[in-house]
Amino acid sequence: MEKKKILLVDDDADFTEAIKLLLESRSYDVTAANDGKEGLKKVQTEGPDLIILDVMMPEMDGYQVCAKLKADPKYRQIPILLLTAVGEAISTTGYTKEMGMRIEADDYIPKPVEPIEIVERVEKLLRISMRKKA
Amino acid sequence: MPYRAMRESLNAVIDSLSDGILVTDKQGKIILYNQKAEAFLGMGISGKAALGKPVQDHIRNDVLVGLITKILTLDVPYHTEEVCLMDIGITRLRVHVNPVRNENAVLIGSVTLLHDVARLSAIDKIKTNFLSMVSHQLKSPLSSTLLQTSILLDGIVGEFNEKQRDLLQKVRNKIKGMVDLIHDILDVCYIEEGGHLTQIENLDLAEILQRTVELMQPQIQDKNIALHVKIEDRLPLIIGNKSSVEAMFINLINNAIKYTPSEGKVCVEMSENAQNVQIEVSDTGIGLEEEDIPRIFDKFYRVRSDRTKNISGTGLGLSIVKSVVDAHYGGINVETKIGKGTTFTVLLPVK
Repeated sequence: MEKKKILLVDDDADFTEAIKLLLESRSYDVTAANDGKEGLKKVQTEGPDLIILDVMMPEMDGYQVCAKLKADPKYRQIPILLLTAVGEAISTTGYTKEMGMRIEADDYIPKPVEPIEIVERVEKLLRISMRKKA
Repeated sequence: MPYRAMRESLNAVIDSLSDGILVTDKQGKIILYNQKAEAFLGMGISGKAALGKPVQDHIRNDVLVGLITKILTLDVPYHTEEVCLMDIGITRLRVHVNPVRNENAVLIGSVTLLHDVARLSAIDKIKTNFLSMVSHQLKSPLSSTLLQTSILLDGIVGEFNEKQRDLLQKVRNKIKGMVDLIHDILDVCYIEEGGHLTQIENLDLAEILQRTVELMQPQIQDKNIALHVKIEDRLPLIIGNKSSVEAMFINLINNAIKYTPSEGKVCVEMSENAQNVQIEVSDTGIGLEEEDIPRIFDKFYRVRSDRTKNISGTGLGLSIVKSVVDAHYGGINVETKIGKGTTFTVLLPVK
């Protein structure tokens, strides 16, 4: 079976490296992007099966990237796992009101995060998306 | 000096004070106040027109009238002061209300001091912002480091020998402790910055409690604690801030679990009590010493004894609980017995 491709968008290089090691050990193909803009570009060039998106990023934050992708019929179906900092899950509603956009991430997980939790969420999201395609 | 001249110069003195002062007799009639009090409280027409009138007729601030009434009716010797912070218009006042007693210790009235703390509050705010900024800055690298150690311990990049594993586990625990501390500090900052005031909604406490309990299942199972949750049907909604109420539940239940030995019992009950929703969290834990009770809500206060030395914590949990309760105009009470357990009861008013 072909390896599933995951795009990881986070500006913290240490965090990215650790997640990459983790997911590669579970036989995923992982590409990383440093910020929102690069992330959007790589969605087009790499065609990932799933995107892990950090919320706090310079230039274009995770919410904006998420909203852009979910508004695009071409990429809408790619599952997005948002990484929020604790306390942000709540402020998501505040943010939604302020920016006037809905956050349609498929799942979100607060940082700091346990490796096993990331793996489980990724597996679950990919399973759901496979079922939708089938 | 003749009496009249003395009275006039006394009035001139109190009108020159930068604090507001307001004196009532035992019946709550205003018998003395200065210009500052007039300005702070918007007592309307100047010229001391409020003299001789009941406080509630000239002061539209219910909280202040309530404090004065409390001081005048609760006539007990040890009740010597009511202090609170009050926002009136754009000014923030620290208010002290004291009983006035004559030489025979008989209550003859009340004296209220109104001190403008807007400048102090502004400085305090800068400090809170700074603290919150530092915490945010620390959180991100700590999160990464925690993940890195978890991945090392997972053996993904190679196995360690026992000694190495042991050391790494200790490193990980220390980082975990720091991350917990940062979270607690951010919770405190959130409330002190008034974050809970900007996002107010109708809250279904039953739903929030149930979700919190679900989140805590792993800890409960780890320690093999029996958790009983009893929630009354059709509880009224309360108005408040969701995330801070969540933080309150988490800290109350977390403490109960933490200070209860394995195989113990933790009960969480929620019911309607008069115009309040009552939350009761009781445990069969180690209990508190009488002398520690006054300090348990202080920031960074931790009970130090042989019984607690192996229990880790930040010392911020109950201070978070207290500030959330205060922010919702509620009350909290603790009953405890050494070796038997502790019960915290929170009342949040339905408005």
